Amino acid sequence: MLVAIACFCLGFAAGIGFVFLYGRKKDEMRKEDGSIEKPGAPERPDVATEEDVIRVNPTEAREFFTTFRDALSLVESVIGEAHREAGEAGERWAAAVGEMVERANAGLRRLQKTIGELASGQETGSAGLVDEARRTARVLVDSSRSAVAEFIASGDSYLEMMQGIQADRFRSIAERIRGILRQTNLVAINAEIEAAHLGEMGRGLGVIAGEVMKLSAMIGDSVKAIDETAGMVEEKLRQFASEISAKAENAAHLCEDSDRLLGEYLAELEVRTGDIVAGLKGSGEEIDSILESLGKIVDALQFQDISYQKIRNALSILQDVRSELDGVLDNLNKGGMKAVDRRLFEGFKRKYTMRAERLHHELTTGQKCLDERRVGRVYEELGENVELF
Amino acid sequence: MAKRVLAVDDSATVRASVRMVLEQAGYEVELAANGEDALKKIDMAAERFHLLITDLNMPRLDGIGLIRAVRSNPAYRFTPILMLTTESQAEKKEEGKKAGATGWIVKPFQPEQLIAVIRKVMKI
Repeated sequence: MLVAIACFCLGFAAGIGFVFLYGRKKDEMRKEDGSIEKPGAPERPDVATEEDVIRVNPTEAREFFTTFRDALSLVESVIGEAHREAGEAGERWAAAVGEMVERANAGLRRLQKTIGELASGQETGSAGLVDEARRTARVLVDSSRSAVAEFIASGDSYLEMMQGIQADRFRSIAERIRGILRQTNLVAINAEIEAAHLGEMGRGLGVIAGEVMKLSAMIGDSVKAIDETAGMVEEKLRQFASEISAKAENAAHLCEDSDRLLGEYLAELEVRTGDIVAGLKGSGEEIDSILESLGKIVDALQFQDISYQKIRNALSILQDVRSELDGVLDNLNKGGMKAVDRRLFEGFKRKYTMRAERLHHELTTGQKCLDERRVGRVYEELGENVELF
Repeated sequence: MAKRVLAVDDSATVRASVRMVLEQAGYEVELAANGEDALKKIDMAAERFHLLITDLNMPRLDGIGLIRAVRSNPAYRFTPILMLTTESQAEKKEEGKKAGATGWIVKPFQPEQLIAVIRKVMKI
């Protein structure tokens, strides 16, 4: 497109230059000869006749070509810059996209390698992490098992102690009572025998012997009750011991189950964590690089758009110039010269959409074009190109 | 829930840039190619947009015209509207401010810069 624009401008310049030079040549010939040579019929009806050319005011023509040259210089500088920026933007775009594709491919290759390693069971990247978790879990399980075992042992010894204390105590009391009972019975029997020997005189002793026998029977009943109570207490203790043992056994079983489940969980975790860690390892760097590429792509896309706008605006100016030149040439063909002055540039100002264009205009024409007064507030953290209202 | 943003620009490359940056930052992005298209998107939207980003020079309805139309809608009276344009003339900025723009960003912008501006005007 730029080549076409350049060819168009050069074509116009050559055409106008030819008409001007042709006019000057004819003008000079008239001065040398002192007479005017009548030309024949023109080959092209739209080409100015010799008389028409002679009537052109050289001053106006010079002003015209000066303006024309400045306009072309302006357009040339704008299009030249746009051309360069478009080229750079294209290169940046291509580089950014290429980089992104390369990194994406690198990520894919790594992913493929990871999948291959996982499939072949060679992956060891997460072994450390999982082993550490397994060791920690094992310590917890072992501690729990140990605690249960200690609880069971402590319970057993406590029960044994309690049973021993209770049994000894009851046995001791019962034996002592039985001893008293034996002694009492012996005393009663002896008293009864002595009372029989004494006859009437031993009647009181016989009464005492009878009471002692009654007491002995009562003691015997008490011993029986104590034995029954002791038996009941021992039975209760046995039940308690049995329940405690059962609960301890249950806790041990639960502990074993937990150990087994934990082992299965850890095995699963090892596979899954290994998969994730290996997948992320290295891929993270690729993802970061892709994100960095995002900024470059955004930058390239924007510069492409800016360059596009500049070319579009320059084309619009070229169209104005062409229209103006068309009018001038039309007048030239009719033997006149349309006055062209630097007011032509005033119309260009409406075409600009960005700072660079206005700067070029100021530098080329000397006309004030740029007004960058702040309208809103500028925040340092947001950048100089941002104003908030 | 992700904040909804309507980005309006006649340039496909700018629309692509804004979409990449905003989606990367977690925003839900809707695109329009000019002011008229944007107004249709606003009318048809099931949910209100939380932010508008618009170019200035666009065919059919330019950025200033779009802002004026949007501000006449009570639902968008206080919605932040950012101008994202290559134009830096004070006259244009004044026109934008008068129409109801919240801020003015001159292209080119950096991705993190755009996000910072959005967070500031949305107070998040």
